[in-house]
Amino acid sequence: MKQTLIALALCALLAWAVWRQPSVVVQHRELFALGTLVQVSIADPLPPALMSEIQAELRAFERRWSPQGDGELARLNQLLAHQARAPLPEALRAGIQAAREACRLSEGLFDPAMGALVQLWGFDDEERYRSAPPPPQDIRQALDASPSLCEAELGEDIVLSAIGARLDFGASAKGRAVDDIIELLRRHGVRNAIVNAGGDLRAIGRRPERAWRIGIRQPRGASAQDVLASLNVADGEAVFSSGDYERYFLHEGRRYHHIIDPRDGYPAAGSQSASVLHGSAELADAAATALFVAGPDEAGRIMQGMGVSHWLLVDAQGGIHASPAMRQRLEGLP
Amino acid sequence: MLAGYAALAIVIHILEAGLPSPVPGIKPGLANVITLVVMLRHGWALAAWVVLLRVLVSALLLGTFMTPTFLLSAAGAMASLAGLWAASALHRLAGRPLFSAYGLGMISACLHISGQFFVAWRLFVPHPGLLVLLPVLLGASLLFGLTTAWLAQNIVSRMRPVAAP
Amino acid sequence: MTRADSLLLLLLCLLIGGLFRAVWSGGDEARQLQLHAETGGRDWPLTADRLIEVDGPLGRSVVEIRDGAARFLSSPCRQQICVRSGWHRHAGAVAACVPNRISFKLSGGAASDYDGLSY
Repeated sequence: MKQTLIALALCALLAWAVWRQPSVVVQHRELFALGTLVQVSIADPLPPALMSEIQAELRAFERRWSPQGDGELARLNQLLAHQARAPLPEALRAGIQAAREACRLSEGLFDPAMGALVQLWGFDDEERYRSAPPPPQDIRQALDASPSLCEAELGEDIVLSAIGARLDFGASAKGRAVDDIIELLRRHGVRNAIVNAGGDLRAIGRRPERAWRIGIRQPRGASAQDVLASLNVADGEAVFSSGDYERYFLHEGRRYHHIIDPRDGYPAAGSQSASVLHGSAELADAAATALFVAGPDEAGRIMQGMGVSHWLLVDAQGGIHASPAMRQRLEGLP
Repeated sequence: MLAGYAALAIVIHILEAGLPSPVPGIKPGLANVITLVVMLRHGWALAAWVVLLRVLVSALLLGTFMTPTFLLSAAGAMASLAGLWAASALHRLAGRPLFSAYGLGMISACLHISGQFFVAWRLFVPHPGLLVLLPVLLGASLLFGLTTAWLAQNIVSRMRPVAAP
Repeated sequence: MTRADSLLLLLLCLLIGGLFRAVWSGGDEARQLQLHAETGGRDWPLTADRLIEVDGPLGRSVVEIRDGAARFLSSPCRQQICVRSGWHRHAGAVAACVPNRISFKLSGGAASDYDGLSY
C-alpha cells in the first residue's frame, strides 16, 4: 500500500508538471503614436510608469521629426522653403546623416527629400487624403522641385541642390523611433519584448518557452490576419514591411498607394509588399521602402548595396522573391 | 457460487445507487471490488458473467432497464470487461500475471468511466464543452480504481485458496 | 504493486495530465473585447453578437462583434484603414482607428500562433 501511495504521489507530481502552463504571462500595451497604433509586448515584469515614459518619448520624437508644426524638422523645412542652405539642428543630425547614407546606398530609391511629392499624394495627412491621382503637371512640378538627399552636404549646415526642398522622413522615422523605444526598454531592465508600430517591429529577447514568432502578412489575403510566411526572430532583430494594401485609394480600377517612386513621382508599380529583416530598425525601415520601389528586377542589387541580407518581396503579380538567407529563416513560404 | 458473487455485486451496486454523489457520474464503483475478486480468483470469464448479471439485474430491480442510465452502465461495463480481457490475454501471453489487483483495478475503473463518458458525449450531450470533465473523471476513476483494488486485494488475501478443480 | 502496475499508473497520470492541459488551456478564460476611446473604454464579452457605437474626435465609429470575432464596421476617418483591417479573432489581436483615437484588443481564448505581424 505504501508503495502505491508513493507511486501515486510521484505520478501526481509529474502530471502537475505536465499540466502547468508557463507562469510568465506576456503583457500587451497599446498607445497611439507615430500615426499608428504602437503595441508593446513584454515578457518580463512590467516596470511601473514604463508606458507613460514610452508615450512621452514618442511624443517628443513626433514633434522633433514632424515635417510641419513647431519641431526641429518643421522649422528646418520652413527655412529650406526659401533657401538651399540652413543650419542643421543637432537633434536631427544623426538621423539625417543615416538617412543620407541610406539614400546613397539605395541609389536614390529611398529619398526623404521628396516631401513635396509626399504632400501632393496626400497619404501623410488625414485631411488631404485623395480619391483621385494628382494632375500629371503637379506631379512633374513637385518632382522637379525636389532635390535628392543623396547629394546633400551635411556639416554645420545642410546644403541641398535646390531651393524649396521639403524633408519628410516618414519612410525611416518609424524605424528610428522603434530603435529609441527598444533602448528605453533596455534601460529599464526589460530584456524580452516586442515593439510593433503598426506592422513595423523590433524584438529583443524571447518568450519564456520559445523565441518570438512573427508572421508576415499576405498582401492580397482575404483577411488582414492571413500570413504569407513566418519566422522566429532573434534578440534585437527588426522586421519592417512596406505594402500597398493599407494606405491606398482606388480610382478607375487602379490602385494608388503611398510608396512613391522618386524617379517618376508615381506610386512604385512593381511590388505588392516588401519585408526586411535586420538588426537596426532604422535601416530596415529605409530598406523596406527601397526594396518596394526597386521591384523584383533590382531587388538583389539594391539590397546588397544597402547591406541587407534578409529580404522578401511579393511582386505586382503575386510572385515571391526572397534572398537565400531569408528563405532559410522563413517558414511556410509557398 | 456465481450466483453468490453476482448477488453480492448486485446488492452493493443498488446500495451505492441510493447514495448521493457529489459530482454526477462519479461513483466509487464499489461493486467493482467483487469483479476484481472474481477476476483474481477465478479468471476473466467468470468475472464477465458477474458483471453482466450485475448490470442486467440491477437495472431490472431499479427499474432503469433500457433507459439512458442502463446504456451508460452497460457501456462502462463493456469497456471495463474489454480491458480486463486484454489484461488477461497479456497474462496468458507472458505466462505469468503482469498486473496485480492494482493494475486490474486501474484498467477496469478508467475504462469504465471512459466508456460511460463517450456514450454520454456521443449520444446524450454532444457539446464539446463536456470534454473538460474527462480528465477530472479519469483522475477520480484512477483513485477509485486503486481503492477498490486495495479492498479486493485484502479480501482475496483473507479468503481460503481456491479449491483445485 | 508490480512493475507493470507502476508503469500503467505512470502512463495514466501522464495521459490525464496531458488531457487537462489540452482541454483546459485558454478555455476557461472569458473571451473579451477591450475597447479604448478617449471618452472612456470598457470591456465587452465576445460571446454575444452586438454592435458597439463609440465616439471619438472625428465622430462615431461602430465596432461589430459576431461569432466570437470583432471588426470596425464603420468609422468617420477618410482612409478607412481600420475598416479595411477586417475581422479579428485571436487573443492579443488589436485594431485601431488612429484618427478617431479608438482601438480594441481581444483577450482570452485561443492565442494567435504569432507574437506579432509585420505588414
